[in-house]
Amino acid sequence: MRIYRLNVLLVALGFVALCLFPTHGRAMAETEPAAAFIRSLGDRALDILRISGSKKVERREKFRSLVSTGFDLETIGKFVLGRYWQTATPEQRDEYLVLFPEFIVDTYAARFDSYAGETFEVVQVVPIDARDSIVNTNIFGADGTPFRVDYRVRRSDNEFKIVDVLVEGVSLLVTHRSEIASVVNREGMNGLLAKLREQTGTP
Amino acid sequence: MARANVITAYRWCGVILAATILTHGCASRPSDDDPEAIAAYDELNDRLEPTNRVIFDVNDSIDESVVEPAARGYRTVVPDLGRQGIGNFLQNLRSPVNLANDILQGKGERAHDTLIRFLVNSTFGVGGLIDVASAEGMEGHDEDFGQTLAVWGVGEGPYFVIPLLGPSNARDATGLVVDTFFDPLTFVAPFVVSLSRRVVDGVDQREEVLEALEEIKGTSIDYYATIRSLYRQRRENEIRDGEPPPFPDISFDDEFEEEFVDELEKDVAPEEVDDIDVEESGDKDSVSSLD
Repeated sequence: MRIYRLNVLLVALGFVALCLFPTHGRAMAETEPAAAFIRSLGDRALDILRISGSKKVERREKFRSLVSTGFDLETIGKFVLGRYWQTATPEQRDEYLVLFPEFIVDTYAARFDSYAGETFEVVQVVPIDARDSIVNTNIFGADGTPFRVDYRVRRSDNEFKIVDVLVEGVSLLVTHRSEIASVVNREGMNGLLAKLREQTGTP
Repeated sequence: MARANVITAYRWCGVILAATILTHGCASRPSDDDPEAIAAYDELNDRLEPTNRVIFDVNDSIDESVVEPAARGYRTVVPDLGRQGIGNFLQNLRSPVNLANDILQGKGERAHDTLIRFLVNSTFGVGGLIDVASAEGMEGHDEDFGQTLAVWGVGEGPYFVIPLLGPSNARDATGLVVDTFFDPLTFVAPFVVSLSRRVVDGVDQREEVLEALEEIKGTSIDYYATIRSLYRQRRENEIRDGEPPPFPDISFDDEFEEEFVDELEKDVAPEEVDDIDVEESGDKDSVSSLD
C-alpha cells in the first residue's frame, strides 16, 4: 500500500515537473559540419516563412531556390530512374534531367511551404560511409508533438547536398524510385516524361 | 439476424473479389532472359497489380465520397481536445492486442510499458481519455500480429489491397484476423459496438492524415505506386520499432562515369583516392569496403 502511494506521488510530481520543464530542445553535441549544413538550411527555411509570410508567390519562389541549391538533384534523379537510365535515349535522358529536378523542386518547395509554425532541432549525425551521413532531426508541430525527419547528406568538395529525406523512416528516394519504375513499366519512358511535363506544368 | 446479414455481405464481397481477380488477373512475370526486369518485378512484389489497382480505385472513390468528408466533418465538429481524447481512448483499447504481440515477440520491456500504460491511463487517465503515461515519458507503440509474424521470420507475401481497408499483404492480412482474437472486446462486446469502434477508429486515423494524403495525391505521378511504397516502408519501419532501415546504395552503373572515374584514379596518388567520389562509378566493391 505504501509503495503504491509513493508511486502515485512520483507520477504526480513527474507530471508537474514535465509541465514546468519541457524536455525537447536537448540536442546532442554537434561538431559535424553536416549538422551545421542542415541547421542553416532549416534556418533559411524558417526565415523565408517569417520574412515573406503572406506573399505566397514570392515565398514559393524562394523555397524553390532553396531546394535547388540544397538538394543533389542529379544524383537523386539518376537513382530514382534506376535501371531505366540505361535504356533511355540521350534525348530522353536530357529531357528527364530537366523535368525531374523541376518535379522535385515543386514537390519539396510545397512541403517546406506547409511547415508553418514548426520548429526543429538537429539530434545527431550518423556517418554511413565515406561521404554520406544521416542527420537526425526532430520537427515539432504547432502542438509540440515531434516527428522524426532524417536527412541523408552527401559531401563532395566540402559542399553538402541532401540526397534523401526520411520521414519517420520512410525514404522519399525509395518512394520516388518505386513510383517512377511503376510508371515506366506501364507507360514507357515517354509516358513518364509526359506525366512529368504535366505535373510540372511544362509545355 | 444481424449476423446472418453480415455473412451474406461477406459472401458477396468474396464473389466480387473473385470476379475482379478473374477479369483483371495478375501481372505477368517477365521472361527469364531479362534478370533485371525480374529483379524489378520481385522488388515491387505486386503480382496482383491489375486487380489491386481496380480495388484501389474503388477504395479511393469511397474515400473521396464518404471517408474523407467524414474525417473533415469530424475535425470540424469535435474540438481538438475531444479528438485527442477519442484517439487516446481508442489507442488504450488496443492495449490487449499490443501486449499479446509484445509478449509473442519476446519484448519484455515493451510488454511492461504496455501494461503500465494501460493501468495508468485507464485509471488516472479517466478510462484512457488522457494519455498520462506519455506525459510521463512512457510513449506508446503499436504492435500487431503482422509484425509478430515478421519478427518470427515470416516474409510479407504478395502485396494486396483489401476492399475498404486498403493496402496490405498476405502476412499483415493474416495478422489482422489473428489480432481480433487477442482482443477481449471481440468476445465481450456486441457486434455493433465492435463495428462502431472500427468505424470511429478509421475516421480518427483518416483525420490525422488529411493534409499528408492530400499532398501525396497532389504531388505524385502514380498515386497507387506511391501508396504501395509508403505502406511497405512504413510497415518495415514498424517492424524495426523505428530503427533506421538499411540505406540504399546510391551509385550508378553509368559506363561513361565509370570510365571517367577510372581515368581520374589513374591520375592521382593512392592516398588521395579516398577523397574522390569512388562510389559514383557504381563499383559495388568499393562501396562495401567503406563499411
